[in-house]
Amino acid sequence: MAVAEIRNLTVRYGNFTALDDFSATIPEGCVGLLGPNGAGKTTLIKTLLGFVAPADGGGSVFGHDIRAEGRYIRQKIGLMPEQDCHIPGMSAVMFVAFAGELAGMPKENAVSRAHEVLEYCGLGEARYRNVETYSTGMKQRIKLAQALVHGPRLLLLDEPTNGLDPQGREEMLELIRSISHGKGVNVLVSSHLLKDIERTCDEVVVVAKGKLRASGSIKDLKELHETPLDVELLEPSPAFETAVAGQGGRVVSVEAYHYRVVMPGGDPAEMTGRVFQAAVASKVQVRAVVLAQRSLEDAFMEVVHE
Amino acid sequence: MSEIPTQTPAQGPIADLTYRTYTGPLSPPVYRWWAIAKMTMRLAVKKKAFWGWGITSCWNYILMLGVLTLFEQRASDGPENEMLKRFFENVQWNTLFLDGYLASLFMLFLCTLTIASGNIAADNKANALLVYLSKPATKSDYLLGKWTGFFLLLLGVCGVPMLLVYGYGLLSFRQYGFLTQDPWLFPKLLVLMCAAPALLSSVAVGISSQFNQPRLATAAFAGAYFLPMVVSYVMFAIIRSHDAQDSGPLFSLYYAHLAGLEEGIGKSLLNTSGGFANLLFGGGRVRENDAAIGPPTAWMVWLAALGVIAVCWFFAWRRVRAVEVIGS
Repeated sequence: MAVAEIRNLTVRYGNFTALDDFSATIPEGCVGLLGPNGAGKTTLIKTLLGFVAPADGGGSVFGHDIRAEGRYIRQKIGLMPEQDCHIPGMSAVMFVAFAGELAGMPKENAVSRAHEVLEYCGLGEARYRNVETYSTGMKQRIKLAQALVHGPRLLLLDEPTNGLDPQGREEMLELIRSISHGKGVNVLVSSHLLKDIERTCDEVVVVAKGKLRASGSIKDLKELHETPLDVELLEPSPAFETAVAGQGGRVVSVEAYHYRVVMPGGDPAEMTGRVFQAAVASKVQVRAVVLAQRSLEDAFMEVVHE
Repeated sequence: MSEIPTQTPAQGPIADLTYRTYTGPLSPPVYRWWAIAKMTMRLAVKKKAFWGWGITSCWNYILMLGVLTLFEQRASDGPENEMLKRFFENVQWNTLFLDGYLASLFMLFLCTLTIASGNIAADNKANALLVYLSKPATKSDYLLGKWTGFFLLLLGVCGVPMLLVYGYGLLSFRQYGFLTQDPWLFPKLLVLMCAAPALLSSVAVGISSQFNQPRLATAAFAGAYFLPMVVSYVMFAIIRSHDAQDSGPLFSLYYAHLAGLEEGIGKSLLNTSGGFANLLFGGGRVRENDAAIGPPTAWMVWLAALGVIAVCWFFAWRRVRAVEVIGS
């Protein structure tokens, strides 16, 4: 079942079109919303929450219309915004409990749940401190805690590792991964940091210039159409390139003694056999042969610049 | 020999710290303004200055009641006392309330300055709107919740002493016409105790929402309170120097500012210019109070107050949003 369906959504800020006839389906699980700065990721999140009115098109979140049922959507969603945000004059536990009350929790439940969530987010020791005195990393955690307090079915995380040091980033990614896997919470992580997305998500939606560029599993996105092989030789060998051509294949790229080759035939075993035949013919030793995969960064750059 | 089992300390925390989804009740996503109002009040009552100004605002009532109680005791000791007889013959009870109300207005302004004038600006500065509005609360909930929070606290400051004095008067001065002189006094007081808090809360919401810095918002609120006051008093003095008659539309300029509207509402509602203290300390003689300006035209002052409230709400409504949307 899809978490959200977006149909031909157009959002404009004055004359600037932030989302242009955007259609996508957000599946269950942990989904990365990828795109360069200014691609329209945050606008999409704002529109799903009802902060921004679409100029055209529409969509639904958990079956609720984004134009008319914003309250119902927001009750099922937790938002961790990109910017620092808190309510002045409150301690962490008061802040998170109040966020729960706003979501509709009875006060007693909200308070006990606030304690639980703060423990989970690693702020147990600092729960009675005023949020204004928190460090950047703690502020990121408290934003996550207030988003989680009412047990949302979908968590929207906008640049969750912004401003974190390497250790804080690791901890935040671990938290996100832990929430989004096996806890019944769907997560949509918006980020331009591909490594963060790769660490936490299973699926991605790629946005660029307000349009959908690609969507699907990260594995599918990284897969190459021609199924090339990465061959590691003992030493560089021009003769190997000739022998590959002799087998009906071609060398796509060479980096020192690493060759990326494309061989005819779709069966990996057959293609690997041809590589070994070319190696025998050129009298070089093969150290390794693997099916080539591109990095998410390569895939991202390709779809963004299409 | 059997080995005695040793108790090993628990590895890790006692509590289960893994994430669990909340499965408890959630109320339907409506009427979140009341939760916001309660939290606004909860945070505001932590400010000591609010309590200080709030309690100080009762000074006139306390003083008048103290003297009244003394008078009553002396009257019961010697009913032949001429001065007391004259006092209770001439007393106008609505002037007691107007004097107390007018004396509390400046403290009410200070209370507003303490709890309300910078409140939404502080929220703007801390991006709190993102928290409020990402939950099932709307802009209306937010504004209404903030307004209600301010209003109820200011209503407490303005209304509690008024009600206590009314109760005391009802119990102690019925024989002196407290109840019969103006049977509508109680409903009038109920309206009066709401008017000034509603006006000040609306202005605080309107001004505070325009700023991202609480101090600037507070300064702007103070400016909006005092600058028109100075202008209107100066203009009124000029007009009065040319026309000694205490009437006419130009004389309404005296009330053309926030405190003036509050004063005008009080005078028009209770239909008096005050002067309870004059009677009290003047030996029970009704004296002309030269400094007192007569009540304004009721519809004019109410219309002006409602206009100010509407304008403030309009500006707050336009400005408050979860995110900055440029060019929309």
